[in-house]
Amino acid sequence: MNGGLGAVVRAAGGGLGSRRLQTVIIGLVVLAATAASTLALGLLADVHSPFDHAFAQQNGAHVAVTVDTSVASPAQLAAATRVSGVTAVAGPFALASENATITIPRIPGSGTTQLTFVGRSAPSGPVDDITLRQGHWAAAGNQAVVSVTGSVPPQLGTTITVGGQALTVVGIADSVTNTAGVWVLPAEMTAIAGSGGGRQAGSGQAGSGQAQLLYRFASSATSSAITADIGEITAALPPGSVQATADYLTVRQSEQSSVAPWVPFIVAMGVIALVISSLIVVNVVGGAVVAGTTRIGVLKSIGFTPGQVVGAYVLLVGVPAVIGALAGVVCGDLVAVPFNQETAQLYQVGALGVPYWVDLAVPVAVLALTLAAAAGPALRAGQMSPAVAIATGRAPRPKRGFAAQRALGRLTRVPRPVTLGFASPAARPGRTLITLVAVLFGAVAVTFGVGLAISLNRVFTEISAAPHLPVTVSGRSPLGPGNTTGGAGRKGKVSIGVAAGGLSAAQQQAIITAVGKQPGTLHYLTVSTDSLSLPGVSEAAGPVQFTAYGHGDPGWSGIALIAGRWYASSPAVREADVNTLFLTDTGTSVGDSFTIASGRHAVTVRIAGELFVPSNSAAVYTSPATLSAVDPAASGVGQYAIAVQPGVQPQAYANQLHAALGGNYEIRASNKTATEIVAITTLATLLTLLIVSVAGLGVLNTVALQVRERARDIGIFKALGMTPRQTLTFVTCSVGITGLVAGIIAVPAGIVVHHGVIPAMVHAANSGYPPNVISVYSLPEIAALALAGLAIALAGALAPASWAAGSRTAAALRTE
Amino acid sequence: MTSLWPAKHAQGIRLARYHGYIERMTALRSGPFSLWPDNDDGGRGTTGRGPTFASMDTLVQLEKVTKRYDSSGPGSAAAPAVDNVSTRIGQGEAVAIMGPSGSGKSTLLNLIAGLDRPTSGAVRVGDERVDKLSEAGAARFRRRQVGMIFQFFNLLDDMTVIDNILLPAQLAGRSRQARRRADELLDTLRIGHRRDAYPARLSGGERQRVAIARALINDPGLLVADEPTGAVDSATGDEIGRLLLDMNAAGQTLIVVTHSPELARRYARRVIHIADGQIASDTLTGHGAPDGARP
Repeated sequence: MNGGLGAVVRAAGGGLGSRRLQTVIIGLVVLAATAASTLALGLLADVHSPFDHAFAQQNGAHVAVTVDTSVASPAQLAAATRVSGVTAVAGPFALASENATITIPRIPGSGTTQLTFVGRSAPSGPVDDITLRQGHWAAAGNQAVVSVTGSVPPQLGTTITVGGQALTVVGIADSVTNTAGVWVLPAEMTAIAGSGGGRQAGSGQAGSGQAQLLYRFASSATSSAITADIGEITAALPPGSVQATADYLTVRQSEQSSVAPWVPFIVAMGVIALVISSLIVVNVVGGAVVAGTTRIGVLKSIGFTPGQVVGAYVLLVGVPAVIGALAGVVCGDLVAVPFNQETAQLYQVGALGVPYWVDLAVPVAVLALTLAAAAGPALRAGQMSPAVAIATGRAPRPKRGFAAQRALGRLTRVPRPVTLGFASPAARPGRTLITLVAVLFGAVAVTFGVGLAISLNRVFTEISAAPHLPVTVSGRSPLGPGNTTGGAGRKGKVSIGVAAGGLSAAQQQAIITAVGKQPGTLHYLTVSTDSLSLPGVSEAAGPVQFTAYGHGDPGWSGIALIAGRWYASSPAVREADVNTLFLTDTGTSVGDSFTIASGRHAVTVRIAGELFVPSNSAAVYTSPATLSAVDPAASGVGQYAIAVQPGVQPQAYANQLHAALGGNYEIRASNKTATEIVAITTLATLLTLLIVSVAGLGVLNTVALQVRERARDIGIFKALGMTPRQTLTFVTCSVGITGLVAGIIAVPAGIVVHHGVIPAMVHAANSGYPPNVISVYSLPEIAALALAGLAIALAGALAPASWAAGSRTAAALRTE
Repeated sequence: MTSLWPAKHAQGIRLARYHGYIERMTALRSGPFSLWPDNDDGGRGTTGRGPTFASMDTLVQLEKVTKRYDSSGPGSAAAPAVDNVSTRIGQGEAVAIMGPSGSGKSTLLNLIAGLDRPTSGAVRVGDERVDKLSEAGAARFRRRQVGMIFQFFNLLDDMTVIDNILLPAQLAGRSRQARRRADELLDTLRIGHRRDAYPARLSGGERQRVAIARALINDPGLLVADEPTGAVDSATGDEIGRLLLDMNAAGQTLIVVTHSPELARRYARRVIHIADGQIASDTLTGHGAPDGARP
């Protein structure tokens, strides 16, 4: 090894050995910063293309084609897999749509729904590489795997009965393009097909039913390219054999509109994580080099050139930084597993992972930042004369903060260790400012995270129908039992799960009688629904959804009003409440009149109010009489939605009602927990904790540096009679005041972030918002949140304060 | 003996100052400004009487005290810093501990002051087993019973003279009561005009006077000084030495670590020589007070 280089390496090695604590802190900070940045950037990458990411991971099908095998022969099917532009094909898989009865373990009753069965021997394949979330793939004829986003509740052990054959759910899987609701072994399809009233399945044999072909194409980025691809396939098959085609762009468009509301939140949290990480790394590394100024002077005095000094210090910082960065990427990826599960759940896009470029870019960027932060002060110290560097390093502290010390010393009623601590930040204003900003970001994240959780809780559990009308009774449901009425669909819509088809007069009478007799009933509403295409209203996400609440005050639904009031219940009054998207699409406002024209019927209604119903679909809420006038063919009351008295458990109420009404009714109790709120709250909590940890590490570093710099002072204090507890008080107070100030500033800052992000999220969900979605911070909460900065500061300071308190006085006095 | 005072009238000046000092110190220790309750006097010097050697009660007692640092732990060839030292120091004594660098004298002082803990042996100061005290107990012990003076003063740069002096009292929770005593000490030590100055603006002698005032603020029974004249010029050193001796004359027990045989001979009544961590000699000097002032 070159002598000069060897000296640099040995100098760096000596520094590492003699400054173990600092080395460990640098490593930990770089680790935490890398992990946080990996996560943040991974989430930011995912948020912009969650579907694309999952689609690429699962080799999603660009086009799925359903072929009538009674028309297309196996040879023709085979030929259709070799059309130009195809890069991969899966299938043909036998396919059948059948009515099936679903029974969930430990839940009484069952439900019937139509399911799409596909026969596949394995989840993997060149196209539509299915991700198994739970359990295993079907290994026997009586086993089935269900789609996580399908109609069957994703619960292992559920029984699907189709045509008298019972299939047990042994796996939960996800296909990014939703190619099936239930997968079974191919051999099982023969027994399933046609047994539930649907068409027979095909297995590539002419005349046997339907088959599914899944394609990936070289050119598939645009609708025209996909249309051309589908044209190629159709041309390769006999006329009339292609029953249906589905392309990924349609699914992608739907998914991206679902993701949009969460982008502002992820961006806000991601930016906070990235900024705080950068700040802490620069602070820690810069501080470490500055603390080594004396050593730099000594190195120079024995012949190190400025370049060698910089090299030694870059190496000194670089070694723990490299280890920290590598460990940080691994930790970031590991922590990303649950994060991505939550995010995927949030986006409803199957599996997500940290993009590889993030794993490369983040450690490189963090290391570059680290080395730049080290090189600057090292270069400055390297340019100093050895005598100046040694003197600078040994100088107790810059001569600042004397006035603060003097003023606080006069507060005789306050314990002296407290005033000594409070005066400390003034001695190093630069470092104090950086610590303040770090704690500020952490506390902002806490304030924002708490506000976000409260806002979402209000959105999903206070101002939607499910918690207010937790028990619903209907005739038959396309969904299996156990589903909640207030859950979110794949598109993230908040909707009341209304049964298809109306209830007969006899059924309604039976329900009214049973509900009237049942103890615990508070009140109930009848619910009628309809979907209508209206001129002038966008149908990007489907037709306009109509809901009519009858038999009571529609306000009992709990849906929040953004403006105006609920429609008048009188049959003679033509009024409606609409969601924001309806107003936007039609260019109307509350108080305007709007003519609902459907077929030959046209009814002019006055828009009484704007409702908080975030959705991709326009929604209209009106009285049953108005709905009947708009669409006389509407199926009438389809559901009874019941509010229970305080203290009554909805599930117990539902069970009792089930016993009273018998098995001809679908009775459901809301579990009040929406998928979104669990996912977003978990995500927000984890991100906040990570950001707070980085901030805490920053505080730890600052206090460790301070304790090191003030070791002599602490030794004097102790020699003069400062007890360990007083030392602990002194050191924690030295950063506690900074934390308290940061916390106090962070509350308004966090509220500003909250007030910026929540409206952006709600607007992205095509909605306005009622005031209580934004006004979530009460005075006690604000007071508690103001202490978040103090808590972060104290948590970060505790370890170095304990070291200071436990240090031996004589040893501290010997410290230079 | 070489006097640092001008010839002829120096003795008269010294005598006058000495007697004035005795009066002030006596007033401070027993007067209305005393910080110690009347019934809390045990183990600290007796006010108003000269330190008659024969009648002294033991204040400090070391029994087979050994101190090894980590690098000289069991199995190590390195010698202990303090090796099986036993001695007694009476109330009101002025003892100089001498020895070459690394001989263990500062370590011995740290053990007596409760700044460090012996590896073995017992350290008693008054009724306290100092070696058995917890960190908090040792801090309280130092606060009440020990005044410390360091070679490099160890004043806190960002505090004024008065704040430095008051600090031990404030740590003991007696800040308001201590203000009057601090003012008295400032006057007694002739640094009252520097009350609001920062240490950086003081001369070496002034800094050490501040350190002495700080050491006395809690009216300790024992004053320990580690090379108190090591960082000042000889004239200032002599002045500091006389101040310490004046205090001893007022009944203050004093242990001084010094390199200077001259200082030891002039201002201590007993000199303990340490070599290789052991007591090499323990002698009475027969001096230790300004001419004519010695009782």
